[in-house]
Amino acid sequence: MQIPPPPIPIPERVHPRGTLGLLNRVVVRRIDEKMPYFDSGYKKSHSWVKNFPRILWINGRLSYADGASTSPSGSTDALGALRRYEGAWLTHWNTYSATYGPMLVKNTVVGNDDYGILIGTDNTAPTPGDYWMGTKIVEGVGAGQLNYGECHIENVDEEATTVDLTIWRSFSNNSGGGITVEEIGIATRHNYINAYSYFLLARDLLNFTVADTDIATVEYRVRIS
Amino acid sequence: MTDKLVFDEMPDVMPEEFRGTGSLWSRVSIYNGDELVKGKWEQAHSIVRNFMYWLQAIWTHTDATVGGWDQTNTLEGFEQGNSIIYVFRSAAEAALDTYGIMLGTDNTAVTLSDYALGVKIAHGEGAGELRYGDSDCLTPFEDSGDSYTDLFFVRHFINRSGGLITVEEIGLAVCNEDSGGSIEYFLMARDLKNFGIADDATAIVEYCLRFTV
Repeated sequence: MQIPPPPIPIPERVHPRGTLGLLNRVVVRRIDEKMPYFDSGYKKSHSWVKNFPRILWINGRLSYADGASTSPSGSTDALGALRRYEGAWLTHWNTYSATYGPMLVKNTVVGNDDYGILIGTDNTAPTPGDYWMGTKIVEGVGAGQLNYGECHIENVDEEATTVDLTIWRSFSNNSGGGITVEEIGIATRHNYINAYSYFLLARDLLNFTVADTDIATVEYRVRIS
Repeated sequence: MTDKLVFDEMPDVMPEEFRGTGSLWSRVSIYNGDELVKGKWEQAHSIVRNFMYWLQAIWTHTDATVGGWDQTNTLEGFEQGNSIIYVFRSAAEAALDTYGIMLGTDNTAVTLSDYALGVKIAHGEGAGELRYGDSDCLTPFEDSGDSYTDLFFVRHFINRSGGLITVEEIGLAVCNEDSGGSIEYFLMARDLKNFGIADDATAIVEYCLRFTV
C-alpha cells in the first residue's frame, strides 16, 4: 500500500532564490488503483514553525564542553511544554541510530502517529508558535481515524538549480466513512535517554476528503534553489 | 519575483513571496574606531547543498551513509563522534577560521555545490589576514506578532594587517566530529559581498535566517 505519489512537474521557481522553501502535495487513490483520482499538485507551504530554528540554534550552539552550563531552554513539544535540551542528548544522535537521537522524522513503524508527517482536522491558521496539530487524526479504524503508513524520506535530489529533500506518508481509511482532512504537518521525535518528546516542525492547512477504503498520500518537499 | 532585496532593518512584515520560507540575509557593518557604519540587510542567495544532506542525515538517522562535502571537497558522513560533540556547530571560538562565519577574496558566482570559500582570508595579522573573533549563534528572536522567527549568526573581524583588505565573499560553515574523532568542516552558505576593511578597522558580519509563516 506504500506507493509514492506519481511524479508530476514541479514549478521551478516557487520560492525566492536562496530560501529554504517547503512545498506540499496530496494525492488520493482507490485501494485497488495505483494512479490517484485526486492530486492537489505542489503548493507552497506557509508553515515552518519556530521549533525548527530553535533546533537549528541548539545544534549550532551546543558542544559537549559547554552543554551543562549553556543549555538552551529547548523547544515546545507536543504537550506545549518547553522541553529542555541538555548537552548529553546529542551523544545519542546516530550513535544508536535506530533507537536514539534528536530530530528523527523518518518513521518506520506502521501505525505510529507520534511523528513524521501527521494529518488533522483543525483549520486554524498556522502561526510560528504552533507546537502541535490542532486536532490530530489518530491511528485506528474507528470513526474519524486513519491507518498511518511508514513515513519515508527520499535521498536528496540535486538538479541544476534546485536541491530537494522529499518525505511522504500514506494514510488508509478503514473507518467505514469519509474523513475530511484540514491540516498536515511534520513532527520530529527527540530522545533523551529513552524519554521521547515530539516537536512540530511545520504545519499547513489543506482540505481534502479520504473516502472509506481510499488511501491518501501526503508529500512534503524541502527545497533550496 | 524579486531577485534580491535590501532592507535598512529587517522588516516586521515580509514581502508575500517570503511567506513559508526560511530566508537568509546578511549584513556587514564597519567600525573604524570612531564610528560604526551600519550596513543594510541584503538577501542572500546562498544556502548550499550540504545543508540538505545534513537535514536528510538528521531526519533519518542514517549515520555515516549520508554526508556532505567538507572544505577539501571530500565526501564525509554526518556521523556522530564519541567524545566531544559537534553536530552542525557554528559557534566558533576566536581565531578559528575553519567554521562559523568566514570571509574570503574570491568573487566566483555562488553555486549549490560550493563546499568552501573560493579564497578564504586566514586568521592572523600578516598581510591580507584578519583577526577572527568569536562566531556566535544567538538565541532565536521570536516576533511578538507571531509572524516570524529569526536566527542570527554574528562574527567580528579585526584588521591588524597594516593595509586595506577587500572582502569579496562571506560564508557560514559548521563542524561535525566523526566517530574516529576527526572534526570535519562543512560549508552551509556562501555569498558574494564587496567591502573594504581598513587597517585597524573592524567588520561585523551577520547572517539572519528568518522563518516566516
